[in-house]
Amino acid sequence: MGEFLNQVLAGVANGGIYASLALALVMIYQATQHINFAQGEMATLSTFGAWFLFDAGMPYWVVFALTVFGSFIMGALVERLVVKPVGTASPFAFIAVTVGLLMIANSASHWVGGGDIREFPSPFPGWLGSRYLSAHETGTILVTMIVLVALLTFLKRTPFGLAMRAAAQNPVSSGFVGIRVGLMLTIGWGISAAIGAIAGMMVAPIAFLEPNMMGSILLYAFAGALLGGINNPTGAVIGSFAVGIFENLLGVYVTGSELKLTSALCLIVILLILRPSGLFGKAAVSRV
Amino acid sequence: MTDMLRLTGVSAGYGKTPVLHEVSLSVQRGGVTAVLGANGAGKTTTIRTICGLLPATGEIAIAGKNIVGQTSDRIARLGVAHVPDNRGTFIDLTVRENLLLGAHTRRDGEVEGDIERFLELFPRLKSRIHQQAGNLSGGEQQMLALSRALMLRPQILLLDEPSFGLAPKVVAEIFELLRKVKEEDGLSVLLVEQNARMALMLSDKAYVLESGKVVLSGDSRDLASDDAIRKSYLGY
Repeated sequence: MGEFLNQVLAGVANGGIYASLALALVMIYQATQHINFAQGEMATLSTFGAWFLFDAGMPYWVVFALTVFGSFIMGALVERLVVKPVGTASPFAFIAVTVGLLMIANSASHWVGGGDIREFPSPFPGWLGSRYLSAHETGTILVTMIVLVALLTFLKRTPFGLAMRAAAQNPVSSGFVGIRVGLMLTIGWGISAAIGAIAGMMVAPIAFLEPNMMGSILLYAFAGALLGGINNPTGAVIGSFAVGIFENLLGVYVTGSELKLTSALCLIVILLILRPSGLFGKAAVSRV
Repeated sequence: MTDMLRLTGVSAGYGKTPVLHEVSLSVQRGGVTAVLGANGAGKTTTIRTICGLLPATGEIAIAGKNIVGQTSDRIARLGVAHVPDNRGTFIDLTVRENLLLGAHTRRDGEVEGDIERFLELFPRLKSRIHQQAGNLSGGEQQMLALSRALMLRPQILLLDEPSFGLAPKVVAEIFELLRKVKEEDGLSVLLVEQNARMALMLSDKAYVLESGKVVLSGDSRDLASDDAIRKSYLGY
């Protein structure tokens, strides 16, 4: 029983990581109704930026703030310079662009990082740790919760967040009430990249910083977001924890660790078939 | 005094297909102008052109300011509210959120008071305030669309077929509200309608479109009382 509990908690720790990236996916979905496949690689690139700031001798939380802000700018620029010119003519164009961005960001990480595996510091003091979770794991879960609450407050409680959701759902009508739809998209990409950067800085101390660090994590985060509901931040976090536990138990007791990623992929496919809006997601309703 | 809205020689269309040909019309301050015509006459195109959805030539002036070539959000911020033919409901958001979005451009502290006002006028919206707007019936969505547009505190309201697909009782309710708001707030309205009888009762001026051209215009009362015109152009 103790062993089982340990495995569940290890899954919870993984889930905290997936949840932080899942929130970035949810954010971009809220702003664009699309998935950004480059989310993970952009986060890795941000984390490399952070590493160089540490290397220059800056304290952790200064680096954290600079990285989040810099990533916001990067995300906004990517939207303005790459995504916007392609337009919203076809969802396939959007997918092609984000897959292209994935490769570009990955190459950029190789270029700045040179493929070396780097250690990345954790900011959390030792007393956060316990018998079951390390200080960093506990800290990651805390940070994810803070991001979740901040994101929910922004989207649900501020006029700006409401305008952003409206712009994503119905851009034409949003124009009629005076919302600057283009600006909303740009800021949505910025916020999403900023959340991704936080995820990257939480992942790096565990996984080591290297260009492909986020590859599989994006897949788990995607599975988590789909499970909980890609348009529901709380659901996506719960879903990510569930995926973390599920893949860990499955890996330990059933399939062996080689098939963990496969099981996540299977989960994605099954969810897309059975319940595309997720467990907690709002299915679109309409009545004419 | 300058008109609230004036179109002068406006031509517009979709891609290379022109729909409107040199349309000129106007809405006085505090006045209601009706645009009538059969399906495909260019009524909806006229409204879409004013909102900045279609490229146009000619001049479209809001209170004397030319808005041709402006984006629709900028035109909205000039005080032009629009109830589109599909009602433009944000179906995934709640009724209350829809109303708040209507006031997106406002920075005054009276938004909550205005929400109360429209909920009093449309009690059916009040009981559904926290429901997803997509769950509303057609009539309720039209009430919501109208309330949302008025939340902008517009200078001019553009209405595209508010009676379309609705029960006569609901249509009467909506026109009653329009009359009330027009009188209380001095709102200017451009009303596009197939229901010529209702439209002529509410408006003080009317234009009849045919194949994208204005073929007839005048005082609403005169048009309504002329039997020949009624039979040949308005169909009732």
